[in-house]
Amino acid sequence: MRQFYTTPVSNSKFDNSLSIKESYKPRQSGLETLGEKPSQEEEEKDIVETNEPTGNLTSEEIEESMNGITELPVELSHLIDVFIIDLKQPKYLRPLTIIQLSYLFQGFYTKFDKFCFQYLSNNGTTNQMTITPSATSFFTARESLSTGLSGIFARSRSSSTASGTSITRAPRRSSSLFSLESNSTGNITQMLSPEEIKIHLKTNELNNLKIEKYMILCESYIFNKLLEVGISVSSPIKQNPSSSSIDTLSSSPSVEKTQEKLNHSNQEIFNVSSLFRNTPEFGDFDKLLTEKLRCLSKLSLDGKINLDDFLGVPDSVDFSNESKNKDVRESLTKFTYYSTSPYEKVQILLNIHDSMTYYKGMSNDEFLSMLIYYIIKFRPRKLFLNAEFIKLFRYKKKLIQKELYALTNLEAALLFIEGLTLADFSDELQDELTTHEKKILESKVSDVITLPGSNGKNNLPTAVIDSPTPINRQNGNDSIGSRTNSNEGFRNTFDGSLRNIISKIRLYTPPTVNNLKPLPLPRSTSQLSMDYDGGSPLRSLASPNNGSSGEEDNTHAGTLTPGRSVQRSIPEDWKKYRSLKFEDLTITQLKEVFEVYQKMIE
Amino acid sequence: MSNPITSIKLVLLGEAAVGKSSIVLRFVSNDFSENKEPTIGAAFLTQRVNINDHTVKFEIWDTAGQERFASLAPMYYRNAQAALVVYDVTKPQSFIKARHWVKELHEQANKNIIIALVGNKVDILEENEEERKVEREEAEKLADEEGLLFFETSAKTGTNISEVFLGIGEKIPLKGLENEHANGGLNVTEDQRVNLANTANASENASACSC
Repeated sequence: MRQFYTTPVSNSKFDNSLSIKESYKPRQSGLETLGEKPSQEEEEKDIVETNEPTGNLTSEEIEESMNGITELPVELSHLIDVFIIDLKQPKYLRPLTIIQLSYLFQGFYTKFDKFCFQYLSNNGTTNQMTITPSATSFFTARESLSTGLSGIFARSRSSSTASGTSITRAPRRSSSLFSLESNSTGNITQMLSPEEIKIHLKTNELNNLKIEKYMILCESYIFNKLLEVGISVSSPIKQNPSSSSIDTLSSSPSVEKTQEKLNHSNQEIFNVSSLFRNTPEFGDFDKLLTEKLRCLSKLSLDGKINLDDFLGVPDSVDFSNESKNKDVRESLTKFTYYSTSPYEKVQILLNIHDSMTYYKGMSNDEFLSMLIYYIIKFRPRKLFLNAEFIKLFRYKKKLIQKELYALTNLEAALLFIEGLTLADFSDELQDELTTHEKKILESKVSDVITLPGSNGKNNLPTAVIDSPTPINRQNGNDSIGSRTNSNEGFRNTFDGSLRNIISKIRLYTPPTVNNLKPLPLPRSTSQLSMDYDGGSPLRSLASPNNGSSGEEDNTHAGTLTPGRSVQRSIPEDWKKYRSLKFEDLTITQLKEVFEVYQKMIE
Repeated sequence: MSNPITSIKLVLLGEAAVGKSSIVLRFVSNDFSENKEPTIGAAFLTQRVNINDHTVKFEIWDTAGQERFASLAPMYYRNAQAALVVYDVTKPQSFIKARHWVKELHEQANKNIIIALVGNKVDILEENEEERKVEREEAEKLADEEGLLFFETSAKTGTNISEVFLGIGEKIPLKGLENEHANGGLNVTEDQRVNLANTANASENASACSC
């Protein structure tokens, strides 16, 4: 079982902000100049479509294999447990803000997604006649290396070797920098008969659907688990009184239990606001918004404002249908109180839209005004926090299209309500208001409270860093076996050991004051390893970005100087630890490795 | 399946009751194959069209046309690659509003957004040309000045409807994404959705391991 997501749990003093960081930025800018980005863009667009069944796959087939999936395989749910345990480690310098937390979750979703793919392709090898099992696992092993900055290099290396070693490889879109090379030598497409391609595509499609299902289960599992174990941690997230009766994570995760809980979740109230504890602005915002909502609701009840007219609800809408009103009301309550995972909440939001639909061609003139009408009428609490919760914790890759639209409608409705002020009402009404009401309606909530990161509302601050990075402890050891090329092996051992050393060094550096500052660490490993390529063009691409932001850390680490050419006055036996695991090294051996490292950077 | 598919987010702007959703409904129902894609009434729809060798998938976002909600529009046109600004040829006020939308889009939306100005309800003119309150020339002039596509349509009869969408589809850079990227880079990276998806690209490459 690969636990690629956790930091060493044993060391309670381990400070994650000092460990290797994953940095996407250098990756983007590095590739952009090579014209890589556009192709990624294209791919991305293609990929959006892959979820949709083509003619090859009958709906029965889909149903058959999807119905089988009601819970996550143990391998996958274990990952989530590890993630939650990791979250509960008291390793952050200061409590995580909701935005940092969201960042962690999104990072985890992405990895989980990736892992699902590996999991499925390892299982599905029997169906893929064209790919030998070894080849498949070979690739997936490589896949797991591809994280963060080092991912680019691992990936590009893997493709270039792949073109030489594995000709039976199935054609795949590669984002590798060497993809051209690999395609031209491989010339694989012709080796597959149309039948085989068809089967292959089918398997892929099914796998994609499965991954989608897994991702949904993943969200539900995570948040139900959090509900179960509480989100209290020694430091990051404060105790949540309503849901933290069980404070310790039960040793073995039982999926059934969580599922069961889900079914009986009517009793359980998942209190979204507890997640937002460390970012009180959100809670305050929600409070003021709820206050305003109540005030508006009362005004409407007293007949002081006619909501229909006020909102310009089209004549086609008829609010007298009680059963529809009831549906919406119940859904809104369910949305805020009796649902747990972001996915679940989005689905309820879609249901609300369905309930509001009077006729097929209904436009948003109707939807939005109705939504606002209902919100004011039923004034569900914590609506704002729930909307933010979805935005922050639903898997971003899947929060698209219809889901995103429904969420946007809710946000728009809330923005509208939040922004209502006295000026929006007639003079007559203003005269009738009590001083208290006047006060509530005096200003926009957003003028009173500034939400963190609200200047780009939907944007995650790029500076948020504290993400736990996969330490890739197996990195060096894992892949060496499969290498034939000694240079490759060398590079990898070097990567692996150096990385370990560096994380070791970093462990003892004084904590940086500002933990929002990016700590670009893996840079040096990748970069040094690139030096061995003998002036690879990549180097110049990779270094400017890293170098600039990394200076300060180098001084911390004392000896690190990126980008300098490496001298090769290294003892003959420097390879002797290649087969050892880091954990097995003694201090003396570590020292030796460190000396090698020092020589390298001199 | 070999066709590359480009997704386009298209947002509908225009005064209430100018026929925004009728235009889209007509466009979507023109298609023979049933529309299996998920929808939210006519407020959110998707539709695929083949343009030359490409498949373009329109993801159509409707906005509420009430003046009261005008300030909410940016939430909808954020990251949109295309916009239909619709007015009613029999209502001068709706054309004034359309001007405002064009201006606002140029100021606030994605830099490369493709805007089509659409004068709807020309079927009314067929019965009585006197009903026309917005001159074709006036709209054409606006379109010229602002670099817009321009069509006069009738959602009722279907006149010019598919032309609007084909016109947009043809203007969307399909292969020349480099250009779009260079100019619109900022907008794209600011977009959380796209941005995060990019970072997730490794996995996407993997899961899209088709050919």
